[in-house]
Amino acid sequence: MNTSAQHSNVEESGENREFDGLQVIDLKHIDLINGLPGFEHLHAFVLAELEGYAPFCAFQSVDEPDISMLMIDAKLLKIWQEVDLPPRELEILGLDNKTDSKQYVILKVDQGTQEFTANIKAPIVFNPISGAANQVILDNINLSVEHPLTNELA
Amino acid sequence: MRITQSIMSRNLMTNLNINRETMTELQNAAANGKEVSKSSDDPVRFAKASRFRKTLSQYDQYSRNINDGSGWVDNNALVMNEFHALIVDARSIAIQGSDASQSEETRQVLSDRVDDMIEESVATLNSTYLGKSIFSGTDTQNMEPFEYDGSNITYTGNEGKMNRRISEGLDVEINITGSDIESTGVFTSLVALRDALAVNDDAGVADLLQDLQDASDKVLSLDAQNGLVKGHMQMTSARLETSKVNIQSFLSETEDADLAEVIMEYNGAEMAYEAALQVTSKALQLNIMDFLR
Amino acid sequence: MSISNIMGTSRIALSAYQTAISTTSKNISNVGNPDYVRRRADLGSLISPTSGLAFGEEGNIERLESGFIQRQLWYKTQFVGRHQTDEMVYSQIETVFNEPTSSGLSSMMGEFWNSWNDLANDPDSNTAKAIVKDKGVLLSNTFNQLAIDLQTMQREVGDDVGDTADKVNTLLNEIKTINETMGSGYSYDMADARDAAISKLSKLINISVTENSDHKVNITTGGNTLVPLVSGDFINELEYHVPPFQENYAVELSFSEGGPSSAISGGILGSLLEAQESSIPSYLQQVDALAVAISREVNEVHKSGFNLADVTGLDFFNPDVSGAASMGVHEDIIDDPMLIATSDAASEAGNGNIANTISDLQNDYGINGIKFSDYYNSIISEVGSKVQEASFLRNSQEMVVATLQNHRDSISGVSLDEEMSNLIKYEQAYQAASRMISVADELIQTVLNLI
Repeated sequence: MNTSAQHSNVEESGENREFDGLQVIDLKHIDLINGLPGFEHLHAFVLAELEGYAPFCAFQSVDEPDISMLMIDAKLLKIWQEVDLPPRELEILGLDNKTDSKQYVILKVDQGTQEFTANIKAPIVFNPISGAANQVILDNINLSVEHPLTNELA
Repeated sequence: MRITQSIMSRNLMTNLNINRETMTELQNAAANGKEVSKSSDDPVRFAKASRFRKTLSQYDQYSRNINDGSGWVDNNALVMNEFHALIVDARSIAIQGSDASQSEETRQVLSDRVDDMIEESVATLNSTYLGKSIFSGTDTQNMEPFEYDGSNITYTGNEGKMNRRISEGLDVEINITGSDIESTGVFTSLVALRDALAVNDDAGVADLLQDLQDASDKVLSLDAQNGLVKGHMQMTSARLETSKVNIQSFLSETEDADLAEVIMEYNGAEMAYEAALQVTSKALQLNIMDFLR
Repeated sequence: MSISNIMGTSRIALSAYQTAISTTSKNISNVGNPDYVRRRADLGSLISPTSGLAFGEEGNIERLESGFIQRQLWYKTQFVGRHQTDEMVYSQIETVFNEPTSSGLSSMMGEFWNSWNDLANDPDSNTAKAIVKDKGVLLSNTFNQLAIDLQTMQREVGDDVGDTADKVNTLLNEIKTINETMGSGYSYDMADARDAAISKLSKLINISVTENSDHKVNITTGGNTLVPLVSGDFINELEYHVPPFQENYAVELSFSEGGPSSAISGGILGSLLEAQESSIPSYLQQVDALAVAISREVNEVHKSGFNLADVTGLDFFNPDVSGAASMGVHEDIIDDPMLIATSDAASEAGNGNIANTISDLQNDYGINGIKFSDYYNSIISEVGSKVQEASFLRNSQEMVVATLQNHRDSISGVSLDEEMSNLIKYEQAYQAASRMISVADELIQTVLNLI
């Protein structure tokens, strides 16, 4: 399968960009202004949309390519319409309102059910123009860090 | 090159073996759901994952510490509230007692009430939580760190602080000691109030109003500090939780193969293996002897 | 040409083609034998009118050996044996460590440090102390078991060293015996048998093979120092000595006629020797060092602490242990976990500073200037890398050997297509020759009838 040399690397060679052997359609550069919790020293990341892999995106550290995660656009989740972002958080990123921003949620695999869950309590919010981003911890106690993805994608 | 049966079968077997090895790897990946299930799969990534697993375990411990600490701090707040209510009452008594129009008898009654309140305060301050004395410093098995002999309040606990580790190198203090409470001046003020009322010294009582207010404010400030610790722990807890989930997501990506992808690849490999098997058996059957029948 | 000439020639032809057919038949029957070197009937010399009737194999039938290629193949096979065994050995070591499961040392250490932190939050709790004791016992047991498993593996490898040495000796003796037989007459079948023995030997140890003009073979082992194994009828056998049971158990190997055992650097035996003499002992030593360091560091802090009875100076682990096999929680603590110290001052039941300090040892640079967990992780990394490396080398060497085998077979292997078409050719020639004989016979009869 994948060797260590191939895995989790966004390789840019001419026009061909690959992640894990999959074709990269779109690449965004993201700067987490407060680092990524758990990986506080990492700020520069890329967000890669992959061919045939939609809606999953790859989220990978520029400085440590071994550190990578799967994400999806939070707007694809039915529950996301009810979620408000604190204005203060948008301000920090130079944004006026929620619609100007992009939000993505990080995925992991539940060990028991082997299904994907999303951390909707702490989305990655970013300013698509400047690339400034932050992982925002929302106060709403009803939002779970392990929200199951099944039945969620509209 | 001259081709012999052995050469033909060797070449085909090599292809079969390569396929078979790939299939075994994929079978393992699908079964465990893990791409990197042991060090030899990818020593570098495995080592990185190991370090993060350890971090995760430590973060779990910090969460436990925060939970435990929060219980203490919440309990402190409750008791401090009760204690503060008593001080507020004492001040009301002082206001009443400072009124020159009150009689000596009234002041005597008020003095007795202050005496009762001091006893109640001492009982409150001797509260326990989980079987431990909460305001005794680290002398937690001293069940009566505050004693009232009718005249004075004495504190027999120590000044020790109890800590909870809430993140690496970061401890928070979760207790208020009797010394802290003593230094608000509240004991001195209450005793002085009781005595002034007992000797019918309404001017003296009036003087104590400011002291009582200061003591009350200082007690509130102790309570506020306690509240700050609670807030600090809550914020840290939220960030810890986010960190833990991020690390779990990273471990997930390292260790859990995307099952759909694995299964797809596995099916592809299996087909290639089957095809190779067929080619092998056909090729080995072909020789001139077939034609000579 | 006279009739008798015709007879004579035809009779020679008949027996020549008979020999050719039997050679072909022998080749065909050996098509599945990888050590067989095909024979070829030299019809030119068989049928030559000047050769006479030579029925012996040598001179009229060739044995198509590949010479240099075969010797290259024998030389290269050691690497396959070596890396296959390396891969197996290191995989087994990896299994012994059993990471990243919950019963592995990584997890056990984590649970141990965490139990001290829980105790620090509740220093007068008997339950918390009992748990610390339990985690300490689990940790010690894990170290004990690691040591036992590695030592057992070392012994098993040692047993394999002995078995392999026996196999080597059997093969060497076979080769020597054949060498001696070749003295009285070179036999192709004996050459095949000797080649088969050498092939088996080449996987077991590193060898070089040379053949003399008297058809006797010399086999040596070694790199910088060459040690002869078989030379004509000289043989240098392996001897091994199993030492009495002790912690570092390595079977000692020597040569009956002299030579350093370090000459054996390749093949299965080379790998086994390195495993028992350096790889396994190295991991044992590192695990020992970790157990000793943890015991020592925890004890140092614990001794400076006070327990609920205000007693100080107690060890938590057995002091002065020599390694992982003897690591253990002190029996006084096992009997009475209440003795565990938590406080850094007397008479402070709520003081958990010592317990916290012990928990913090996980972040200290407690061994060789690095953390305990990093030290352990590097052991696991190294083992994993060795498995990967051996697997890769095995793969590439297997391909090299397969290519050499193909070259060798190209010269010495049997092709059924070739043999079958030869068979048809020879059969037809045989029939033609026997037809000749009946024609000649008819001619003679005709002549006789004329008389």
